[in-house]
Amino acid sequence: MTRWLRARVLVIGGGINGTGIARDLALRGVDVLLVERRELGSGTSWASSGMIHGGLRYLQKDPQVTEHSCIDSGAIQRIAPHLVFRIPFLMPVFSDDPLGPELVEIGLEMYDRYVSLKNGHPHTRLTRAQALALEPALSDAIECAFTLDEWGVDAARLCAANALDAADRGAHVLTHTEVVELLRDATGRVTGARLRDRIRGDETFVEAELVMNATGPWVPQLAALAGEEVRLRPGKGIHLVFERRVSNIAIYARGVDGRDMFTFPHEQNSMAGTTDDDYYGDLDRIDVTEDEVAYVLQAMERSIPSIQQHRVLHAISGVRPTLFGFGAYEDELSRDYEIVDHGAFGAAPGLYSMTGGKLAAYRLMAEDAANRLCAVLGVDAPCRTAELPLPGGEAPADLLALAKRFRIAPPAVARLGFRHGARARSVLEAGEDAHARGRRVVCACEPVLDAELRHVARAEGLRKLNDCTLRVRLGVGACQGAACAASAAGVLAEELGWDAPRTVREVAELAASRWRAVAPVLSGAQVGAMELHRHVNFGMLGLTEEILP
Amino acid sequence: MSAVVVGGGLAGAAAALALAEAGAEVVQVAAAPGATALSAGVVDVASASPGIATLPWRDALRGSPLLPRERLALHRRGAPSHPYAQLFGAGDDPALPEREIETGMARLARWLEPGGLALGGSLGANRLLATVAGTLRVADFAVAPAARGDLLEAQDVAVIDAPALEGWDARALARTLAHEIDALGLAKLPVSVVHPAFPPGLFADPSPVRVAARLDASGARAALATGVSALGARGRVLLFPPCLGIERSAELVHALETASGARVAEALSFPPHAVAGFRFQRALDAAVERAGVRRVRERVRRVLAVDVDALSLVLGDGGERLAADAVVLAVGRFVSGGVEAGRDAVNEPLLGLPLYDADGRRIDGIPARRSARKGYGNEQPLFSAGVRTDRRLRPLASNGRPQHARLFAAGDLLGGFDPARERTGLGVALVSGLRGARAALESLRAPQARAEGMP
Repeated sequence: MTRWLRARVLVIGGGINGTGIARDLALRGVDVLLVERRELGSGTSWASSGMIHGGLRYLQKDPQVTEHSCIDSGAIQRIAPHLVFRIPFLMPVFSDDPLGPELVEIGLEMYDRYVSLKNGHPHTRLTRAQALALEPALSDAIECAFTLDEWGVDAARLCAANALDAADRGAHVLTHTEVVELLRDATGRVTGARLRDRIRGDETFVEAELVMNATGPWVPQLAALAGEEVRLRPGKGIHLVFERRVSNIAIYARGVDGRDMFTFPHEQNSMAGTTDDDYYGDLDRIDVTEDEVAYVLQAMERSIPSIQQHRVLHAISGVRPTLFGFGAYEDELSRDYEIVDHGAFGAAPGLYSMTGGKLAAYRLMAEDAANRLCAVLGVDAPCRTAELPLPGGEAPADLLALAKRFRIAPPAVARLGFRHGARARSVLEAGEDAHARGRRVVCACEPVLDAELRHVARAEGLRKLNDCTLRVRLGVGACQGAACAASAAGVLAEELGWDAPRTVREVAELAASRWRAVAPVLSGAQVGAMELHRHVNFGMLGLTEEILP
Repeated sequence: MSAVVVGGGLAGAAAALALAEAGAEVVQVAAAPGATALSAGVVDVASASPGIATLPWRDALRGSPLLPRERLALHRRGAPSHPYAQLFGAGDDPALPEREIETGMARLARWLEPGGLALGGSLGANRLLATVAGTLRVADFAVAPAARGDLLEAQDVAVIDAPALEGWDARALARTLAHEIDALGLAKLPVSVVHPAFPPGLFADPSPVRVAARLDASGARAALATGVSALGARGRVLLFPPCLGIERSAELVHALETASGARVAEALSFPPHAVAGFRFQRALDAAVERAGVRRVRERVRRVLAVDVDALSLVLGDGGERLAADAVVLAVGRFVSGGVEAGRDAVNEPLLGLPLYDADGRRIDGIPARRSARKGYGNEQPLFSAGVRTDRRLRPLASNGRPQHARLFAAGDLLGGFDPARERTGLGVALVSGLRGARAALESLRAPQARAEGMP
């Protein structure tokens, strides 16, 4: 059965750009359909550092990127306070660094002018002894250190929150649905798309006045469906994810080639990264190489000599949709963004593409894009994304009171509150049944409660077990889902009406996708964890090659 | 003459018990429980289909479920690198594997019996057990109470609902189980969910192992028996979550069966709620204690050759020495630390023994990630690797000769098979543990290392 849908704007891509634009348009009363090929935020957004930082790095070449990022970071803190957390940074200075402390401090003084925009503290300079007292894991070869202040965010949740808000305002959101074809009229105008649901296999035709291609690194592929060429300089980046914390403070490190990197506390883990290399491989299978892992660890080791003893859980990889530039090193390319009107600069009127940009400035970029589209549509409603809270950001939740009332361990409620903000209470209330099943901890690593899984299935349009890794961070801890995949699948099966074979397939898919993330960094205690993972999945659950994707 | 067994799991316990029964002076050194404690208490002896990691029960769909005996026979034509190839040889005695496994199981059953843990199974019949996820698992041998849940013997299955219990979802289990039974084309076997009356406060701490410990108390046992008394029926299997006691499991099961009239079994469980494995490990430890084996709770750092007839173990952080006339290494693989994945290389930490995968390639000396292949379902050299031995289970050094005349290896440390996919880990552990003990005894009784010209 083919269905027909109509929307004023079809937004393609469920990353931070697409969901941000969809929300912006929906808040202006524009009828939007958002389509995502996989899970919301599963591409570049998930692979980002998950920081809404100002980008000290861009200050020299792209000061407007820094400024935009800082302004927008402040706005994100207002509209989604629950999803944001402070990350204090230490920047150690070594005697053999190209810039001495004085020059570094000049840069930081310039940056201080922006940090108040994002509620950051100005930098401070620490002596060697002060820095080592603050973070004993730092190398004692440092000369001195500076502090600065940045903000982290759960990027996948931020995408989901934008999409949910759009949906609350009437937008259609279709995940696991791909654009098979762009529809054109006789004049070549793009008038919509043919979509295919990748789970059910059925097709939908969407008629739209305008089509926004916000597919990040996939922008060229999507534009090519309309015969349009968009050039990117796709830059692959990886992050290593550590078990729990390497340090509670983020620490700058310098790569062997002089690039800035850092290890930073992020949600329940520490992360380290990132790399930046031209990438022309398969965007759906972005493998992490041994070279990249060694490069990151080598850089970190100079700042934190003990880093090699920390347990790496898995790696995250993605590709930046960086603007095309010739003759520059990856790192020196502009982090600015562009919106291409394929009518004015091509032969596909009605189609727009968005390229480049930063997570931290997503809201501003979305506003700019929505302004452009609204001008064409004749909509003059103003942008309201900086004032209206995202779902859950309406008011602070009293998490301790919830923990008491539902008799759930406070750390579990804290994580629920982090993801759902003010909605945490209704999530727990909806999970209550005669036996209080909703209070059970399904995934102990994160932790994730039964009630939260039911909520994302019922109210957030979650469609696959594997998507729980992004939506609620299930299965990304030490056991990589060995302990929780089957129980979580059982809960989702009940909520989503999966039959038994589908349920087993979902478990198999999660197991296989965790292996892809872990294998490139497999070492130390994680090898034992994966040995057990295989025992559970092959030996106990009976997964076989026939079932595995 | 003293023999030292390193490792606390099934392989180590079997070796220690066999040595003790033969009158040797035995020391078991184990810093922690073995990986056996993380198992489901299922002791499979023959892989699903050697070389093919598919469920034997799939064969049932084609009308020919292979019996354990037949699957075992297939091993003789299977991989030459499998530990069975060394244990049972190529063809001189076709009855050897069956005989040895049956004797081994009888001994294990005898060792476990005083602790009240029964071992069920045979080479002549498959048993079909349900897991906590509702999937089906073919089992050759298993410890009670899981072993009592053979669905091939059941006329209907009633899954115990325990909504407050962690890791247990009776509705999801029943749904999957019903489908699996249907997909295998088994005779009609209805699956239902039943709701017993639980003793108050049983789930105050909802972790299965805590609930199991609470059910060791006679009051709770009697109360639960009353709570299930109305749920029985002839031919019914009452499928419980993994919480049927720790030390007094047999009494609890007896009480529940008497009260209900049904067969009482536990679903197969896995970490973090591997209660059956925990119980199994405890029972093995108790058996080793009963046998008068001295147990040393230390980590072994190194194993050194003193001379051709003697070895020495370096223990703990203090570097204490323990002299041994023979050593059986039953230290497992990654989970239990018998094989380590260091920053730069995978290695066997006690002697630096070379490690070989099922295809005979060495995987020691290179980082783990380099041996990891893409594709979760693919063969993974990293997880089929371990030491290679001679016929007497003496691990081979890189020159292809035994590392030491009186050093033996057993259990998962033996390479050449993938215990997760073949699921024969505990079967190999038992057989090789017993065989390692026998080889150690022989070496102690007839010290001929010098004559053999061994290093």
